[in-house]
Amino acid sequence: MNKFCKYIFLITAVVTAGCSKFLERESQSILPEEQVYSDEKMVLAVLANYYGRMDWGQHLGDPGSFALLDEAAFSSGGPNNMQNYGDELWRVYDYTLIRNLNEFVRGVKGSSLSDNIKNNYEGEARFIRAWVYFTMLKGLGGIPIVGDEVFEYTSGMDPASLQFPRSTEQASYEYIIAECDAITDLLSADRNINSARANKWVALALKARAALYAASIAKYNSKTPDVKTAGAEVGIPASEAARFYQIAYDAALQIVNESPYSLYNKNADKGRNFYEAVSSKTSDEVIWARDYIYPGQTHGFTNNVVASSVRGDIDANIVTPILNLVEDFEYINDRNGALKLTDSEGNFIYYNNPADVFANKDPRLYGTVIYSGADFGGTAITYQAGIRYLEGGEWRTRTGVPGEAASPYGIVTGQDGPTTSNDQYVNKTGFNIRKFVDENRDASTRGRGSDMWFVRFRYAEFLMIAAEAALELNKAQDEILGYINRLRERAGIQPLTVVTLQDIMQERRVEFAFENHRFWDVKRWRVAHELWNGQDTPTATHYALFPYKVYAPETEYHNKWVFEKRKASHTLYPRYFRYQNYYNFIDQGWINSNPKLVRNPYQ
Amino acid sequence: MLETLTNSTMERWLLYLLIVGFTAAIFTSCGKDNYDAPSAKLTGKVTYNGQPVGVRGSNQSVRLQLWQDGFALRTPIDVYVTQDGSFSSMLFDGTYKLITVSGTGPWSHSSDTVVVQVNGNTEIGFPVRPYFALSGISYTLEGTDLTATLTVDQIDQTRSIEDISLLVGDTKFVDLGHFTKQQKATLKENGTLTIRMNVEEQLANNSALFARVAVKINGITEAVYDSETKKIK
Repeated sequence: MNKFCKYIFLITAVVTAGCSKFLERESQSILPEEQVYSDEKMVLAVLANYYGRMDWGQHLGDPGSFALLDEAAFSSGGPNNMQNYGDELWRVYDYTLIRNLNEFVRGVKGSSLSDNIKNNYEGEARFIRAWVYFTMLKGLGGIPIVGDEVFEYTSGMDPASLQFPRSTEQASYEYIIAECDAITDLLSADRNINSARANKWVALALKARAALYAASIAKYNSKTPDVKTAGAEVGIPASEAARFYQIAYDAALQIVNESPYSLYNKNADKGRNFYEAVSSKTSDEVIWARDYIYPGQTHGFTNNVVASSVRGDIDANIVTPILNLVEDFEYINDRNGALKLTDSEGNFIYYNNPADVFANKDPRLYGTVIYSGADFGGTAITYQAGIRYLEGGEWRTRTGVPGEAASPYGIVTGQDGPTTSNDQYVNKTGFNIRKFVDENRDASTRGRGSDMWFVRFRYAEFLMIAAEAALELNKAQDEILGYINRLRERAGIQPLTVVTLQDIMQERRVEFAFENHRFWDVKRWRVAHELWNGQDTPTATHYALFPYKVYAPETEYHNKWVFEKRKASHTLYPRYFRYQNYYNFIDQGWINSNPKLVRNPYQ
Repeated sequence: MLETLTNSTMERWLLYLLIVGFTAAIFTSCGKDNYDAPSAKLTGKVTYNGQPVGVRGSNQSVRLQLWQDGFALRTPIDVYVTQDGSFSSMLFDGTYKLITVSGTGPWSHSSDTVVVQVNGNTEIGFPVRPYFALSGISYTLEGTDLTATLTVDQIDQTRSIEDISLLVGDTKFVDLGHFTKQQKATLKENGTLTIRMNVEEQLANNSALFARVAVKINGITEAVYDSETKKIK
């Protein structure tokens, strides 16, 4: 019995001793706040997470987003039957991220890092916060601004103190501009690797862009008098326009004159030069980009949109550019960029080589779009929809599946299409995207993906903002010409002699194609409902270009090329932007949890 | 032998348990989380002077809203108007308020609400003030020439006409988003006018053809239409 007691005592001792140690050990996988903010590497890792949570609007992770406007169309598979823009298109309402950023700022401020490092981290987090607000504001109009506080909810408290009403649209823009002002001195003025992180110039860039958006809404929202709310959550008074243009002008010029960035101009081949300026990480023009790196951080954009004959995997042509964009690129010496396809009597013009129809186009076209006869990564790409042949004195066309050949014509339809079939991964428009497409063939495979960056701010934009703001502020034409012609000279086309808003719109359309500018630009100018009116008009309808090779031995036309402009077969409806699309709808769920939110117009 | 017997008895016992358990689960869950579907049907027509107002029926373009007071969360019920001006909605019995939504119909937004008492299937008329009213509409087809005559009256002075057009389509659903040919009138004024259009190609290519006139209004997305489409082939 005594022995038995001893055993019990022994076991109890072992168990209790073990217990205390087991329960008190520190977690190997959860880091408490004070540990994170004591180590700079961990602070950086937390911040990196925020940089990765901002892929909104048109971006490389969502190739389909580029097919919704008037830059490109869906090409793979059956026709796309989108009829109008959704009330939630590209809507962002990310107060989780806002809260995380406020936690981060609080953590960094209370950390033991040196003041200099603390300031820089605080500046970066506040920049990201301003960018999140800006993205929400672009879509929704005025939004609730919650400040720096990290809110806590305890059971039983009145939730009304956590419910913030929407600020006016003007006040929201003012807040973003004020935040950018406050952080320019906190942030480093140096460039960083691949322009992936915010610095002083990125903050200034956001300030310039936000002020320009606010200014143009103030000036042009008189064109849409119904797109307003009674409390000015949507709509900015016209009297504020000049002040906002001035802010945009000053901030843009500071970047143009003082920043370490410049227009990329290193390659004598102007077309290549433009491709490298945007789509090469050696570019010294890019101020801020969403960077990717292989292995680990890659996207499928190249895989999705690459041309058939240079693809590394089965996928290709999910989204391909449309003729509308191609024709909006001017000629070097002719401002009308329409391709010369037929003569004055409507007969086809015959070209010796496929590329001849694009001769003397703005070299930026090469850097943005792959057209017939251009190369990609050293491989020449020829689009051939079919054969045009003479039979009994009449012209007929014959088309086939991509790569099909038939005697006596030879190739009937090229490997790269275009066709009107419903086959997957087959080109339907006669072009492919080049901008942001990786020339490394491995990057077009599903498994690897591409680490091409997505440019958010680059030097050229601030020349354009300076030009637009100067124009709206009635500055001398010589000054405005100075900004815009620097861009046109770099591009390799004739300078302008007089600048109108129409010229600014035109220049931005081609310079910034596929860079997530177009939608927000036509919204702030309040021209979206005119451009994309849902009718069969040249700006709302998607067009494709079908090249045909001529088979007519013993005539002068033999082996020449003709080009047919036709409606894109896979965009069933013209683009239709209704007045209600100027602002996203406020979600009913948000109103249910915060009754102070006011609905948007038309809602 | 004994062992096998025990096993099979046990298996059977387990099977019974499973069957009883599942049956119980199925029947109890049925009773608990299903609500009755709304069963009262509210139908109505958007009218001006007793006449239905034709609108774009596709795309959920034209919309009214039903609100109900007395609940903590106020969520509107969208009611979409079809091309002949009619609408319908399945509801619970109760008192609702029916309103127009600014900019989503070819009529001026009125802050007056129509109180609707829904008690079983209910039919109502919803009077609106369209910017323009169409009357005296007729279509005639002579050979391949389609002629439409209509009278346009301005009802509300706050908006002007963007254009007046004659549309044809190959289904009975014809509007400014769905047509095969459109002819815009040269005039943009009130009064009686005639629009002519050659529809040779459309007659040849389609087994049926429908015509409709539309008056597009400046500053809003919507247009006033003939409340009926006319079959011309």
